[in-house]
Amino acid sequence: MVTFLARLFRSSVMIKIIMAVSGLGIIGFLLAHLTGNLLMFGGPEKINAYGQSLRDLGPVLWLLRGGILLFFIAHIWSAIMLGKRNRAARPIGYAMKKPIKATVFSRTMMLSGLTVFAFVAFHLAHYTFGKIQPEFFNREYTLHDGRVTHNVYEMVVYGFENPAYTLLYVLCMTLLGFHLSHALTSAMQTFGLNNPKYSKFLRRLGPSFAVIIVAAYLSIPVSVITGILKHKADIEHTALSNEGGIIKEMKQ
Amino acid sequence: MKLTLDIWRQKSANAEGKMVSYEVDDISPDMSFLEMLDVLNERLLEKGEDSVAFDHDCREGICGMCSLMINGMPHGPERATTTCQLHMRKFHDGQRITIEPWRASSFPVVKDLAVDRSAFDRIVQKGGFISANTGNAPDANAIPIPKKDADIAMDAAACIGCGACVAVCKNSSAMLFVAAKASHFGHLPQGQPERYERVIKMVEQADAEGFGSCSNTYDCEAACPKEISVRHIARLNRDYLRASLFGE
Amino acid sequence: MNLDSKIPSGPLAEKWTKHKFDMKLVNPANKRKYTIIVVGTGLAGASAAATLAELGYKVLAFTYHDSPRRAHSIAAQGGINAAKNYQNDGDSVYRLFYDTVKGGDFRSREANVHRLAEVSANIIDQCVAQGVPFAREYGGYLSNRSFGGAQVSRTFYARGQTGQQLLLGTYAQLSKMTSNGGVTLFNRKEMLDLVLVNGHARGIVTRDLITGKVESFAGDAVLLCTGGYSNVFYLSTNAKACNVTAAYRAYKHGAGFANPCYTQIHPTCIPVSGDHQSKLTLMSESLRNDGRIWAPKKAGDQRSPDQIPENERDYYLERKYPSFGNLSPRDIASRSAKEACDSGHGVGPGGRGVYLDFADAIKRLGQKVIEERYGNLFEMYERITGENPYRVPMRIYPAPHYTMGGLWVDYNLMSNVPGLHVLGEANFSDHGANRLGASALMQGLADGYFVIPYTLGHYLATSGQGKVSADAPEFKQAEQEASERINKLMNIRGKRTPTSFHRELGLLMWHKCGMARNEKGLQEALDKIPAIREEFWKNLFIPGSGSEFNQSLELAGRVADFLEFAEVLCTDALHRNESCGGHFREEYQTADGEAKRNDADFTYAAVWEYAGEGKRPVLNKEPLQFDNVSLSVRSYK
Repeated sequence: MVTFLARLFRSSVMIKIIMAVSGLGIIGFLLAHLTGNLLMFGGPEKINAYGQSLRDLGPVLWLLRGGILLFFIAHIWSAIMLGKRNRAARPIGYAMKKPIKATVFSRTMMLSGLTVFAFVAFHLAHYTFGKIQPEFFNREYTLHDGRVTHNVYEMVVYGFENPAYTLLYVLCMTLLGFHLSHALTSAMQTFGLNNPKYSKFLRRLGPSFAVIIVAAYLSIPVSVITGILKHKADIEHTALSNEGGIIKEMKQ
Repeated sequence: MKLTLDIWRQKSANAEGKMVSYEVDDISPDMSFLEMLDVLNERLLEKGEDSVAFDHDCREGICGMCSLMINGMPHGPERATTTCQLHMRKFHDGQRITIEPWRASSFPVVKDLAVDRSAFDRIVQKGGFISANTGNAPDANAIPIPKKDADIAMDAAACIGCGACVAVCKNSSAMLFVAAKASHFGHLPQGQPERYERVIKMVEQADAEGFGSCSNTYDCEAACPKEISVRHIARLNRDYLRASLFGE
Repeated sequence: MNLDSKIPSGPLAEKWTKHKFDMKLVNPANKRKYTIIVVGTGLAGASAAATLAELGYKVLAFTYHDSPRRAHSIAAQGGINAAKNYQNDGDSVYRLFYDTVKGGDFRSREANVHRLAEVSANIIDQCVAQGVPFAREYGGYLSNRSFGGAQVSRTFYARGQTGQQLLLGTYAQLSKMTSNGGVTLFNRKEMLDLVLVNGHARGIVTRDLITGKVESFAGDAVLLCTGGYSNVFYLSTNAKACNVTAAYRAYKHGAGFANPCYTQIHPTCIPVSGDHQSKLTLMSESLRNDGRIWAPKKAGDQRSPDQIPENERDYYLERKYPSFGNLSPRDIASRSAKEACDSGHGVGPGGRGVYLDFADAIKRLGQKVIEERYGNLFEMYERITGENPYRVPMRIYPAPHYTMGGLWVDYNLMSNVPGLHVLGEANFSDHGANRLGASALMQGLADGYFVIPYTLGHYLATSGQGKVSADAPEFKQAEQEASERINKLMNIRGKRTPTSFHRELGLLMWHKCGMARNEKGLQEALDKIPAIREEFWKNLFIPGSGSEFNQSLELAGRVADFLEFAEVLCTDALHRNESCGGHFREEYQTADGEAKRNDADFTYAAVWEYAGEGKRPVLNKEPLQFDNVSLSVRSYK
C-alpha cells in the first residue's frame, strides 16, 4: 500500500492518470453545469427552480461542491507536478523549434487551463458569492409554488448585457474549448485507449466534444445579445421596482 | 548550393555554448546532410580550426547514432528519415539552416552537437529484456505467435533509440521510447511473465533520469524516423495502470 | 608461429559433441573469480558478454559507441540462416555445412563450419525466446525465405531489419546482465592496445573518448569481437567508425592475421554519386529475388532505361548463369557488374552502375506485393537517389561489405596468442574465401552464444596463469606507449585531415586491391602505401588536444592502423596466386572469365605474422583438409 501510494504520487504516468481522472470529473461538472445553464431557455421559472432545488440539497450540495473542488485541486496539483518536471527536463531551449503534429491546443494546455481556472474563480465570485455585480445578486423570484428564491435568470441576462463581461466570457469559453479539444482525447490515451479500430474516433472525440460544449455554453450570451433571452422584469420584478434606475442604466 | 549554417558550438559538457554561423558553398544536392557537414568540417580543419562534433555511424538510418535538430525539427523536415538519410536536394540554394543538439537535461551535450544518450541504456537495463538465459530456449516454433502480434511487436521493435522523440517533445519525455520497448515485448508470449514489472521499472527509471511526462501531443510519433505509433504509449499507460492497481 | 587448429578427432558430425565433453570445466563457484574482457558489443561481443556473465564470469564489456545498440551488426538487412528445415525442403545441418564450405570456395575449415551449421538451429530458438520478432506466417509459425544463392528456404528474417532485431536481442541480454552486475559496461571507450603478460593476453588499454583518459583493464582472457576491416577501402557499406585497430594491435603483438585478402564485395549497393561520398549504402540482396539485373547491350548507351527496348538489354547474369541467374553468389554477381561497367556498358554517373529492374516483377505480382516485400528498401533508395524505383529501374554497383579474413583462431576461437579469443567477423574461421548471404549474423551469434561459453572455460581451467592487476608494469608500459602515440599524432600539426588520408588510401586499395586484382596493381599499391603513410606521419593535422572529445583524433588513430594493415592485405593478395571467392586475381581465370582456383598450391589459410617495423610480414600456413567434401569447381551455371 505504501509503495503503491508512493508510486501514485511520484510516477509521471500515475500523475498523468490522476490528471485525466480529475479532468473527467471536471468535464462531468461542466456537463451538469451546462444542463443547468440551458434551463435559461425554459424561462425564469425553470432555471430559478433548478437553482432552488440545488440549494435544497443542503449538505449533499456541499458534498458535491467538495467533490468538484477535489477534482480541481487534483487537476491543478498534477499540472504543477508535471509542469515542474517538464520544465526541468529541458533547461536549455532551442533557438528554433517547430511543432510537427502537436496542435496549438495541446501545446498551450497550461495557459488555457490557468485562464479557465482564473475564470472559474471569477465566475464563483460573480454568481456564487455575488462579489462582481452585487447589485444584481440579491434579486428575488417567487416560484410558482410560492417560495422566494434567487433570480438567477435575471442575473444572467444582466450579466451578458455587459459587453466587457460577455467578451471575457466568450474568450474564456473559447479557451475552455481549446483545453477540452486536447483534454478528452488525451485522457483516453492516458487511460490506455488507443487502437486503430477506434483511434480515428477518439482523435475526433476531443475536438467535437469541445465544439459542442463551447457552442452550448455560448448559446446563452448569444441569445441574450440577440434578444432571444430577455428580461421578464415586467412580470416578476415588482419587489425590485425601486431599483429600476439601475436597470435603465445597465440597458444604456 | 550555397548555405548559411547556424550551428551550436560547445567545447565540452560544462563549457558555455553559443550559435556560430558558417557559410558553405559548392554543396551538391546529392550529398546527405552529414556529408554536407563533412565538407564543412574538412574546410574547418584545413583552416586549422576545430571541426564540428556530431554523432553518426552507420549512415544508413538504422544505428540511431545520428541526431541533430535541423531548422527546429529532429532529423530535419523529412518524414520518416534520419539525418544521415536526409539529402541536400530537400533544401534550396541560399537557405539558412539552424543546427542544434538534442535538448534535454537527460541528454547532456558532450561536445557541439553530440549528446550523451546513455540514459536510454539505463532504462533498458531496468527491464527492457526478456530474461531468457542462453540454453533455455524451447524450439522456435514451439509457441506459435499470431502474425498480427508479431507484426505489432516488430513495429514497436523498429525503434532505433535515436532520441528524436525526446528532442521534439515539449516536455523532453521519453515515453515513446519506453513504450516501444515495452510494447515490443508485451505483444509476444515470451514477454508476458515480466510484462508488468518491466513497464513499472522502465517508467521509474525514465522518471529518475529526469525525462518529462507525456502530454499526448503526438509530436514524437511525427518526429520518429521509424514512425512508431503513440498507440504503444496508450498500451504502456494501460499496462502501468493495471500493474499499479492489481500488481504485487 | 604455432598454428595448431586443435580440431577434435572423430567423424565430422561428432567432433563438437565430443569436444564439449573433452573440454575442462570451470567450477561454478570459481567462475566469478575470472574476469573476462570483451571488446566490441555487436552480435558476437554482446552475446558472448551476456552468456559468459550468465555463467557467472565477471565480464567487462567495451564499446566505442555511446551504446552497445549502435554496433554495425545492426545494419544487416536480409536475414540469418539456420538449418531448421521448417520448410520441409530438404535442408539439413549437412546441407548448410556443405553450402557454406562450397560458398566459401573451399577455403574454410570443415570442422568449424560444421559446428556453425549444428548450432545454427539453437540460435533461432534462443533469439525467439528473447523476443526477436521474426517474420511469421498467418498460422503463427516462423517464415523463411531463400537467400543469397541458397536453393532451400532457410533464412529467418525480421522485415528488412534482421540485424537490428538480432542485435537488439543481444543488447537486451547484455543490458539484463549489466543491471544484475554480471557485466560492467564501458561505453565510449576505444581499445588502443592489447596487453600481454607472460605471453598471455591479459588486458587492454583504452582511451575514454569523452575525457581522453588513457587507462588499462586487466582480466583472465580477452575476447576481440571488433568486426571487419572493409573500411580500409574508405568507401564501404561499413559504418564510419568500423576499423581494424583492435585486430591490428593484436597482430602487432604476435597474433596471426589470416587471409586478409578475402574481402567481400556486395553486389547490390547504391552507386557513388560524387566525390563527397562518405560511405556506401547496401540494399538487401533479397532484392535479387524479384529484380532482374541488366545493362545496355550497346556500350556507352546513354538512353534512359525506358527507351532501351527489351532486345537491346543484356540480362547478363541470366545469360551467363542460367540455373542461378540473378541469384548467383555475391562474388560472381559483383564481378559481373564490374565487367559490364569496365567494358563500357555501365549506367549512371561515371558509368559505374547497372540496372536492377522490377518492372517484370511489378507486372507479375502487382505493385502491392513488391511494396510489401521491399517497400522500405525502395523508400531508402528513393531518399538517397531521388529516383522512384517503382518507375525507374534501380541503379546498383558493388561495394566492399564484409571481410572473411581476420585474426587466425583455432577450433576454440583462440588466436595463437594464448588467452586472446576472437569472435565474429574479426576472426577468419568460418567463411573461407567468400561468405554466403545471411551467414554473418549466424556466425556472430554462434560464436558468442554457443561456442565461446564452452571453449573459454577450457582455456581458463587449463591456462595455469595467476592473477594480474592493471598496475602491473606491462600495463603501465602499454598505457604509456598508447599515450605517446596519441601525442605523436597530435604533435604532427601538419596540413592534411585524417579523412583525406583515409580517402587516398581507400581509393588506392579499391583500384588496386578491390574486386579484381593483378600482380602489377598490387605491387603498385605496395609501393604507394608506405608513401602515403610517411606523408600521414609528416603532414597530419588534428585540432584540439588528446584530453577531450576529439573525433579527428579517433579517426587518425584508426587511419594510422589502416595505413599499415593495407600492406598486409596487399601482401596476402599478391602471394595468393589463384582466384577464389572474394579474391579475384585477373591472371587466374578461365577462358570465359571465371575464377580459377589452385587447390594444389593454395589449399591453406595464409596466416601473416608481424615481423617488426618496416619489415614484410612473414607467411605461415595452416593447411586445410577436406575429408568430407570433395573440392570441386564452384559452378553456378
